[in-house]
Amino acid sequence: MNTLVSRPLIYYVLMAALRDRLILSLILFMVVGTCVSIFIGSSAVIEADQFALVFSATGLRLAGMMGLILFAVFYVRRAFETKDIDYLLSRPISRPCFIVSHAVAFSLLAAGVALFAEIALLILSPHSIIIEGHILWMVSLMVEFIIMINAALFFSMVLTSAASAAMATAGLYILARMMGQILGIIDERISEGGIGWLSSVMEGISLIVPRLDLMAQTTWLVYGAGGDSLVLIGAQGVAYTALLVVAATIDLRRRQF
Amino acid sequence: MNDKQRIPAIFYLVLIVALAAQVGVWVKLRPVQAEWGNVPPAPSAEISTMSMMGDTQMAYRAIGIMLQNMGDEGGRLTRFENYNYTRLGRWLMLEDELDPRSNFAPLLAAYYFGSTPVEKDLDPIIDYLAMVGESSYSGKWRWLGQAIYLARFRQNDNDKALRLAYRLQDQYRDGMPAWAAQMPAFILMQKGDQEAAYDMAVQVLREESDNMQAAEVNFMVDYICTRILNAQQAAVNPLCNGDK
Repeated sequence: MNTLVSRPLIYYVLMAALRDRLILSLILFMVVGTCVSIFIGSSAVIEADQFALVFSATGLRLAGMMGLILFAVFYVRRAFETKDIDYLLSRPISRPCFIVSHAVAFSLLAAGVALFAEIALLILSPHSIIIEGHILWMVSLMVEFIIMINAALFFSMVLTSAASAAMATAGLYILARMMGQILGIIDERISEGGIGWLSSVMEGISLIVPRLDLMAQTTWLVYGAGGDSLVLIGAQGVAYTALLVVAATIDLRRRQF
Repeated sequence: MNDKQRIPAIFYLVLIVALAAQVGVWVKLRPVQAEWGNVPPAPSAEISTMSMMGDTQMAYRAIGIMLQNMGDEGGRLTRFENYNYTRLGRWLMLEDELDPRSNFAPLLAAYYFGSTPVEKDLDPIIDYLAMVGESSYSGKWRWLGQAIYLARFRQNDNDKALRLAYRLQDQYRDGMPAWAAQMPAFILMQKGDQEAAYDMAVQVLREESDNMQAAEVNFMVDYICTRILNAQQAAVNPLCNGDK
């Protein structure tokens, strides 16, 4: 097969998500998380709606991220262990097609989860919806989820242990969400403290870490998008996802079964 | 039950010993309870945002809830005079860095932490409210009015209140009530404390209640009826009996 995308393979992955009860578990997890957020937010003396909105958005983001990472990692590692990958690659599917189809299927899944999170927020805050802020939040959350589920795909291809792959992906996520502040601290203080080499090391690391701190900002939900736009966020998503997919493809091409 | 399934008596003995040890540890630890170590030092805005994984607004809200409940944890209530207000002031300033638009932190400062009986402790609260009151975001000047109120009627510091009143006068723009511009004259008038405090609070309520959240209006009404007026005055005041 010459194409890079196999529809049956995409369908197969999406069915696996359904079979794994991923969707059901995520919905339950997100509903419970949202209820807890509403409870905590409503204890605020004023601006209870804003508190509930911000806490829910953060909870939905973390729950969605955790579900997607764990699903992708355990799906891929299980496929290796049960020889599903050997079987699939014995069919007329090229190795790049295998990776790209998985990336597309995972990305569709990620976009669906982000859409669900946004719907949950719309149900939660019917009084004060700032449309442009919600759109920016949802689209940037989709980009964030797509980047991270493809990072999970990459790590689970490269690392042989599911636990290591999940931890590596979670580590990348935390670092990526903090990168803006880390770079800010470097610019302000560390280089003045006589440990400039550390700044250079972090600058080097930041080259290969996506700027997720610029995505899914709850400020947008409360006050609107302000001057932020989707262009850089979209560019970050395309560039980093492409990097991960190509790296995973190279790894699979070199692998001997 | 065959021999493999039979559990040797030593297992039950170890189980009982482990349970007894656990009970012993419980008895020792039972009096140990979580203690509040007073207001902790405030981190920087960068560190706060990092701790919420890059989400500034989440950092603001999480710290806001933490400030609201601080000291009242584990079934204990802490008196305001036992709070470290210098550190508290730094937390409030941090909140302003994280979100200068919200009115949550200023409200906590003015109506909640501003109730401390220790006049000196009001200094960081007044400094914070005065700073918020000079923000360019709409309606923030009210908090400068609150700072004046605390300086004039809680600290009885007319000089400080007058300095703040001039700052409020400088903030005057179209759309603000006239009394904001007249505040220095209002402070200079040597009215009785209670009468002047009542006038000021009622004017804010009358002219600004449309721009306030319902909970904030309730806070002000409660403040007027329980702190400015005494019980007899509140009983005959229409504001305290549900009329606006």
